[in-house]
Amino acid sequence: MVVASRTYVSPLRQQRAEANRLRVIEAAADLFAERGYSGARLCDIAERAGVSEGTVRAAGSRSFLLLEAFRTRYAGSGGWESLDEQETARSIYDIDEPEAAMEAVVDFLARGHAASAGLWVVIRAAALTDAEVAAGFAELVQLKGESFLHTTRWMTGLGLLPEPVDDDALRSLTDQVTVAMSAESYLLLTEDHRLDDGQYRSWLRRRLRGLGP
Amino acid sequence: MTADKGEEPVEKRRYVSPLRRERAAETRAGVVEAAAEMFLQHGYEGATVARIAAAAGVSVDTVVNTGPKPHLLLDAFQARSTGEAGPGTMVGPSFGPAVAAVTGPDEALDMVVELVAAAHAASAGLWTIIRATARTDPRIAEAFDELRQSRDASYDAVVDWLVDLGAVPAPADPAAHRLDGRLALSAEHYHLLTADCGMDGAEYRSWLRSALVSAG
Repeated sequence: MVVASRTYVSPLRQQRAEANRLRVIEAAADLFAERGYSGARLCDIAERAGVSEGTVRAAGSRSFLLLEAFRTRYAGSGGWESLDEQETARSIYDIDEPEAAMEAVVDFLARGHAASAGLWVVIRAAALTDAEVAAGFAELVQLKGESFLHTTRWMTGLGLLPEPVDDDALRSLTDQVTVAMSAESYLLLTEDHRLDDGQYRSWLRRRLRGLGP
Repeated sequence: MTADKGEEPVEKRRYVSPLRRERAAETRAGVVEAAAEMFLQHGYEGATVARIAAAAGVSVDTVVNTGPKPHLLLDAFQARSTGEAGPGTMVGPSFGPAVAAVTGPDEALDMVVELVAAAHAASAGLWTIIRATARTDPRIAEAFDELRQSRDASYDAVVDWLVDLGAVPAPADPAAHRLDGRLALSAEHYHLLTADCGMDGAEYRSWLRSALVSAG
């Protein structure tokens, strides 16, 4: 009987576990953004999520929670390996009409950064000094690089960006796209220079079109 | 005060020995530099006064007398970016003296690129820590606001100066041009390009140069 009860996975229990995990991620996102990496302890996250500390531990280490909170806020779901495998992003890459594609990219970034840029600041600073965050961050940066390369190729294919003549030109174009689409540009524009959402979108369109063929 | 045990204590207190003042300044610079290292290694919270004291080779009291931790963080950034030991900064007024020596537009652009790249290389990590800490510590937040204002004013002045010299084309839209200039010159873009995109110093310099020329 004991063995049987272990192998049986209750759909209800599984659903509840997933709901709890999402609450933990949300609570972690709020607390890391409010208090910074070192200011948000597992017990604080448990209290905010209304779950036990054991449930928080089961969801992941503190460094994992920070990165997962960012992924969830930025792209709408966590655990992605690369943006082109993520649901929302993939539905954008399916668009083949250039103007609609440009608008979809601008909308994805404006929403994603608005929800996650505060966490990005925390991650970047924590990655300088915390070995675990640094390891997760290195993976994230790697994926980010692949995603921007993928996005650059996709926009080139749609005629939104010039066809690079060689690998160096592709790398240089990808760097330009990376800078334009970055959380860093978003933060500078909206936090430091007080652009509102509409103004940020206009800036991003102008910047991307400026790279155009 | 315990040091003033000799005769004529009043006289001794009033007299400030140049040697002692010089040593005090050296000690102070040492503490600030050790603080910079500890902030970069351990973060704002993790850089304890004890760690800073150990790294500087001074007593905890000496660190405490140098200033509270928020001041140490800001001083560490200023020291690294304006550089007693290093290059001029775009955040402070020390950009001034180098300007007088410039003779032509290309030289002006080279100088700006060089100064900015060197200042960021020395201080961008601390800037990242200040930005993150400003979100949670009101004392840092206030100073961060002031730093950003002086940074913006100084970047605008640099961009205007480059336009006046003909080092970059006159912009059709001056406001958009200034905004692009502020982004191009930022520590945030430096950090993004060198850390995430893997550019080396020469690649960053060449990127910054063309970003300034094509801004707006």
